[in-house]
Amino acid sequence: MTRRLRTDARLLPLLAAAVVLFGVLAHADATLLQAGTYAAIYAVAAIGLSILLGNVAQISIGQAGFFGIGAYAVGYLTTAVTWPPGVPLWLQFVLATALGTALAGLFGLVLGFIALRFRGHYLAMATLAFGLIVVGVVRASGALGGASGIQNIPFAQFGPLPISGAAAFWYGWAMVALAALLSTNLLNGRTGRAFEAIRNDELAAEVLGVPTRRTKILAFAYAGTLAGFAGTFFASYLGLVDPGTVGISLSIDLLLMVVLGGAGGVSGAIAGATLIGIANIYGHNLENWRPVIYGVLVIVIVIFFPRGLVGLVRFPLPRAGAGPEEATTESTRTPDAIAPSARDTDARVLDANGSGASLDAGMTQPWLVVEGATKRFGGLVAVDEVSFALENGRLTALIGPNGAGKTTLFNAICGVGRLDAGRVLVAGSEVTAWQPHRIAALGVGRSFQNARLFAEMTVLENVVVGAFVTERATFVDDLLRRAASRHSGRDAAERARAVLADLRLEHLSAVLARDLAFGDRRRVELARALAARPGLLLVDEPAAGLNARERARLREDLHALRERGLTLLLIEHDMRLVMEVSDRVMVLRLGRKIADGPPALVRNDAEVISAYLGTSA
Amino acid sequence: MNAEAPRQERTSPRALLDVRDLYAGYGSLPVLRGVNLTVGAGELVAVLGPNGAGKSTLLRAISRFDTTITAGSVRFDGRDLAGVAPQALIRAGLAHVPEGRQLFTEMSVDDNVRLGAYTRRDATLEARTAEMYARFPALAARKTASAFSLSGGEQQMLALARALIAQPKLLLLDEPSTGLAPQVVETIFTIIAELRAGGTAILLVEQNAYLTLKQVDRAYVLESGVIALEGSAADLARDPRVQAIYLGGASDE
Repeated sequence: MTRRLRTDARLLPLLAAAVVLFGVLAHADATLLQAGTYAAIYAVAAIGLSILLGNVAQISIGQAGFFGIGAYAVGYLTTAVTWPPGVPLWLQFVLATALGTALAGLFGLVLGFIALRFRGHYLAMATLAFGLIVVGVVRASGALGGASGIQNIPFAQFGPLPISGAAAFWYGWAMVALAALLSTNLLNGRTGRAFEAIRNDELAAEVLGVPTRRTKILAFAYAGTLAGFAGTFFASYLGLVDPGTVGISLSIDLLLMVVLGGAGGVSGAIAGATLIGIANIYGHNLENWRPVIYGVLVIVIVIFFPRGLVGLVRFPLPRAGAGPEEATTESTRTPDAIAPSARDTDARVLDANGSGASLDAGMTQPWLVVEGATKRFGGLVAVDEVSFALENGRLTALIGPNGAGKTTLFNAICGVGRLDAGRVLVAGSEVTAWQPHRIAALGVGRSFQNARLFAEMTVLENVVVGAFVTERATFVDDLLRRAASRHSGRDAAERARAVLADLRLEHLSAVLARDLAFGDRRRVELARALAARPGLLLVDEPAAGLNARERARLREDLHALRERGLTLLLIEHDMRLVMEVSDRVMVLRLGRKIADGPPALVRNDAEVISAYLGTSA
Repeated sequence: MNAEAPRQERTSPRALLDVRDLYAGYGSLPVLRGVNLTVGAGELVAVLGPNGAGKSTLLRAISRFDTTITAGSVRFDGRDLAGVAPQALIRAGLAHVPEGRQLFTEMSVDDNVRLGAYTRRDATLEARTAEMYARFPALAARKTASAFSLSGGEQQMLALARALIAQPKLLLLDEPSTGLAPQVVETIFTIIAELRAGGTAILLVEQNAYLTLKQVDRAYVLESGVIALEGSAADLARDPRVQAIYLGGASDE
C-alpha cells in the first residue's frame, strides 16, 4: 500500500463525515449548498486527473474537453432530441448520462492512444490541443447551439423528483463517493501497481511484464470517463452549457485543484476541488482577479508544498507486515547468500514457471536462441550477425570491451529496441517483434546495469511488481474489487515476501528503494526479477559498484541460482567473477562474436587478448 | 615519432596534478576507493584498466563533472580544486575531453572551436583559432560544416581543438581512440605526442593498453576503483599482471 493509499484510507472517512456535516448544517443556505454541489462535480473530474497525474505521471490540460463531451451529451439529448412518446424524463437522463459518460471514456481511449507518442511538455501541449478542439467543435456546431450553447436544460431526474437544491448536493457527493470507491479499488489492485511502476520507471515496468502502453491508455480513458460523468450532471444542474463553461479555464482549474490538494489518490483531489469550488462561488466578485490569485497560489504550492494540502498531513509509516527488525538501509548481516538447499520453498521460483510457457525442467527447447542478430544505430553496427543458443540450466557470460554491443544485445532479447535483422527465440517462440512485457510473460527476467528500482516504492512494493506477470486480475476485476483482484494482490505479496526471505532481505521490506545502499539495491533488483519466476535471467553488470564482500555474496547468489536450474546470461566486466562462475564465455568485439567457449580457453585466446589490451603492432 | 621530445624525469619537484586518497562515485554508487596519482608538468601519463574499473570516473572526479567526491583531495597547480567551480577550471589551465567527445553537434566546426575559448576571450583569440586550424588542417577545410557531419576521427580532432584553444597546462583525454579506424588511431596518437613535445601535460585514459604503453612516460592500472599497478611504461609493458587484470587470470595469489 503506497503512501497515498494510506493517506486516502485515513482521510476519506474524515472527508465523508465533513461532507455529511456540511450537508446537514447548510441545508437551509442555498448558496452554501450550491458551492458544495459544484465542489462535488469538480471533485469527480479532479479524481480522474489526480490519478492520471499523480499515480501514472501523465499530464492532461484537456480534461475540460471530456467534461464538455459529457455535458453536451446530456444537454443535447434532453433538449434537442425528440424522444419517442412514453419515454419518461428520468429514462432520458439515465440514457443521456450513460451515453455521455461512455462517449467521454471513448475519447479518453483515443487521447490515450495519441498520448503514447508524447512525453512531458509535448504531452501537455497535445492534451491542451484536445481541449481546444472540443471547444472549437461545439462552438462551430449549429446543432449544439454554437457560441451560445444549449439553454434550458431541465434538472436531472432519476426518479419522480428533479434533482436540485439539497438533492443535487447529495447526488453530487454520491457521485464523488462512487468515483472514490472505484478509484480506490483500482489503485489497490494490480492496475494500481502497474500505475505506480510506470510512474517510477516506465522501462523497468515494461520489462517486468507490465503492459505500459495499454495501461497508460486505460488511465486516460478512466480519467476521461470520470470527467465526462461529472459533465453530465453539471449540464443539468447549471441548466445550460456553452463553450465558455467547458473551455481551457476549466481544464486549468481542474489541474489547480489537483495540485492544490495533492496529486495521486482521491483525497487530495476532493480537498482541492472543494476549496476551489467554494472559492469560485464566494469569490465571484473577484472575477478578474481570480486567475491572478490562482496563478500565484499554484506557484506557492509547487514551490513550498509539492505534495499539496494532503501532503501536509503526515501519518506514521506502518510496519508493512515486515519483520520486527529495524529497517536499516545497510545490511549489517554476514554475507548471506541464497541457500541452494532451500529447495522446499524456492524450487518454485524455477520449475513452477507459473508464467505461461508450458515448459518444465526437462524441456528440450533451449531457453534462448539468437540467430544472426544485427542492430544498427545510424552507420554504426552495434550488433553484427550474432548467433548463439544457450544451454538450459547453465550460466553463460557475455563479455567484451566498451561499445562491444552487449547491452544492445540484451535489449534486443528483451524486446527493447527492435533488431534490424535476425531472430530471437525464447523457449521455442519467435519473439523478435514482440513488446517487452510479452517476452517477460514467457519467463524472461532481467536486471539493469544501473539497477532500475522503483525509487518511490518500498522494497516490498518493488518485488510485488516483479510478480506482476504471475497475476491474473484484469482492470475490471480491480475496479469492482472482485475476488480475482483481492486474491491476486495477496498472492503477489506472499510471493514477494517469500523471495525477500529467500534472499535474506526481509528486514528491508519497508524501506523506500531510493534510500537503499547501493549493494542492497542490486540484490533487491534480483529479488524483483525472481518474483516473476523466470526461467531465463539476464543479468547486466551485477558486480559494478560492489565491494569485495558484496562481490563474494553475488558470486554465491549466482552459483545458487544456477544450482536451482535457472538459465543465466551474464554481462560482467569483473573478469575474475566471470571466470569463476561461468560455464561458458562469449566475447563480443565491435558487435561481432569473436570467441565462444569455456572460460579457460577464452581467456588465452589471442583475439580476445588483443580485443581487451590492444595490439602492440 | 617524437624522438626530439626530451624525456622528462618524473621527479618534478611539485606535481602539476596531485590526487590523494580519492573516493568518488555517482550518487550512492561508489567507484573510486582511495586513488593516489600524480602528473608532473609536461608529463604524459596513462590510466589503463578494464571496463568499469573507474577510469572515466577518475577524470570526471578531477574535473568535478557530475561526480560525488566522498573523501580525498585533488590539487592542481598547487591549488585545492574542492572549492573551484567546474567552469573555472579552463581558466585555471585544466581541460577535459570527455569520452564520446560531447560536441555541440548542431553547431558549426568553427563555433565549436571558439566555444572552447569562451572563458578566455582576449586579443589572442584569433591567433589561437588560427593556430588550431594550422594544427588540424582537416578542420580548417570544414569550418562551416556542422560538427554532426564530421567523421569520427575529425570529431575527435575537433574535440581536441576545442580543448586546446584555451591553452591548458593539463589535458584530460578520455579514450580518444575509441571507435576509430587503426590509421586514424595512429594520427590521434601522433597528435598526442606532438602536444606532449609542446609541453602540455596529458592524463590519458585508454583501453588499448599495449599501444598506449608505447607512447606514454608512466601509467597506472586501475582495477575495481583502486590502483592495482603503477610504473614506467616500459616496465608495465612487460608485466604479465596487466593482462591478468584485464582478463581475470589468477595472478595475485
